[in-house]
Amino acid sequence: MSRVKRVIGPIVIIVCIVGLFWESLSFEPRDGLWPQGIIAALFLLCLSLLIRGAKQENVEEETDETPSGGRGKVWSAIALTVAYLFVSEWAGYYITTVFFIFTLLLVLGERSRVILSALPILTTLAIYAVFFLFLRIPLPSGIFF
Amino acid sequence: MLALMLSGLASAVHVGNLLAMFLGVLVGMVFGSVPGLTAAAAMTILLPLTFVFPAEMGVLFLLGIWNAAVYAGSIPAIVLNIPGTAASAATSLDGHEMAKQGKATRALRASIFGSTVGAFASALTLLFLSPPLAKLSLMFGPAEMFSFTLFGLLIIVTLSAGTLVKGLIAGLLGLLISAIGFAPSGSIRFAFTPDLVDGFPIIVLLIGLFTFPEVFSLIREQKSVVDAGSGALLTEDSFLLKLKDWGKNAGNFIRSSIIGSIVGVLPGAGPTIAGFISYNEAKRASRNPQNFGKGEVAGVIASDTANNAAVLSSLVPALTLGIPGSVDAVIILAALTMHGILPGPMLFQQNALLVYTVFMGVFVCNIMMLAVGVLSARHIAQLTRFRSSVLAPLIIVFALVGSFAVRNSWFDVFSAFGIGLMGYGLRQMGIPLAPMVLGVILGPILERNLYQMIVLFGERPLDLFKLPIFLIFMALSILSVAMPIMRSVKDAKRDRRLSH
Repeated sequence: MSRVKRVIGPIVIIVCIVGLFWESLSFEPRDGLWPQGIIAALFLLCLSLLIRGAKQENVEEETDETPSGGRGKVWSAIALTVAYLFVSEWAGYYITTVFFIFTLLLVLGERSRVILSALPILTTLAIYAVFFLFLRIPLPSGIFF
Repeated sequence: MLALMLSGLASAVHVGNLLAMFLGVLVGMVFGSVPGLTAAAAMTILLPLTFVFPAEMGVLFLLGIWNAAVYAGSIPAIVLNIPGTAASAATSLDGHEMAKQGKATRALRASIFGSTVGAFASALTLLFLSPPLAKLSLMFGPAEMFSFTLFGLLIIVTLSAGTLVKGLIAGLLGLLISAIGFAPSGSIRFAFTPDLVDGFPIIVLLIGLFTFPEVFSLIREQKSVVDAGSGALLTEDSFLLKLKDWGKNAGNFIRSSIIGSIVGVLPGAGPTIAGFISYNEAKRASRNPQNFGKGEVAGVIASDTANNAAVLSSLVPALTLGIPGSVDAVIILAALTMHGILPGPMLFQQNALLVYTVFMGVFVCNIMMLAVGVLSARHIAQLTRFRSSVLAPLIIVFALVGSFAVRNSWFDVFSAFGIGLMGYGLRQMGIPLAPMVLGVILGPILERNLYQMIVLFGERPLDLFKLPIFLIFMALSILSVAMPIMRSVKDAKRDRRLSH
């Protein structure tokens, strides 16, 4: 793991917890003490991780056997899921789910026509049966369905 | 008592009761194995159905759901590294590693046998030890509960062998997340939106932390679960657990059953803590502790035996004192109350046949659970063969809809995904996620009891030294930190000596 990669994580955590510490100053002293104690301990541990990470030499990634395009597919899946979450609230959960599964299958390299056509529809029907018909949990209907 | 037990058994094997238990086991299996759906949700939804049942049939139906759901939570924990319920979080530590090595069937069978042994142990506890254990639960005040929870939390040290700093960071992040929402005094902390006033639901956190990092790893590797672990699904497995597994783990079964039965009795502790404590003790007692976390069958047995033992034993204070120790126990009490039966010290006198029908029915229910679990293990294990391109979209969709089902809130869906991204980032840093779950679960219990302990003993702290249970757990807590440190110092010295 490169030195930059090793220090980014602790820095992100430190920035977040410093923000939370700032927020905790507005609490009543007895309510603020618990999170402040946790944040202080976290700060010290992250600092030690940061210093250790910065001191270590760059090491070649020994066991990184990620196939080509693997990372790209992860980022595509994340982007698609974010889009799915926003669109399904607006367009309707069920209709969006069919398109989401179909698109993600394609992005992840699935080429079987049977799976591409059956899986999105069958999964959505199963969710409809379990959540809407059996459990009576209304999923967002949006402008379509 | 023997006559009552026999009458109870005769009543429990009545066709109607058998059908109710079988239906309960099936419903519990479905709810437990889908992350986001809990035993409590299933029991609440189906509680009105028990109106039309006789009291014992209704209670047996609910117990079937509860017991099977806690077991079934281990199925996705083993196969996909996604615990179906919080109680199965410790099972995934070794269960999924076994699945990656192609031993999913063996892990699933270890899980069902562990669950059955645990459930039998807690049924025996209910039958014979209810009154003394109920008294024990009353001996746990805030100071005792604080020291016990602290002991549970320090399991982080064991879970983070070799990466103590990173494990502690994960545990503290979990504690910090658990501080969101109501403080013990009633004021609200870190609730940046009204949805956070009650904090993050534990199931949403579990779905986020375990599902998405695992899915993204599968996508990155572009392989099935077994291929990603460089294994192959082994099918030439024995139908039951191998004899050597029984022999090697006899002590593990007994110890985990005792731990689960005792922890289950304590109010607020529950199956999750029982699973982690038992896993920790199994690792400590093992001759090969270094194998834990790498696919050790004893880890699966310890966790699943204890979490199922804790399920029924949490009914001890509920039935004998009328004090429910968990949400699920509240639902059982509600079912009894709806039939005009009041739990408490008089329950055993006034409704002896009902009590013994339920107790004996639990044994029958466990046999049903065992049969379903053993027969289905090999088929469920086939899931680990699925390509990541097929599995990933399904897991993402079910995880998101499961997180919605917790509170019917779209905010929870976004939260689960956000927590998942955070978990993926932490995993890339080499930070283990299991200590974080422990921190989230134990944080509120630890803080509440610390707060109450300060109120009670703030002006006379020396009185704490008069509490034996408090002192025992504090000593155990100190030992659980000191021993691994001493061992690592000793190992370092030995390595240095060998290198010279």
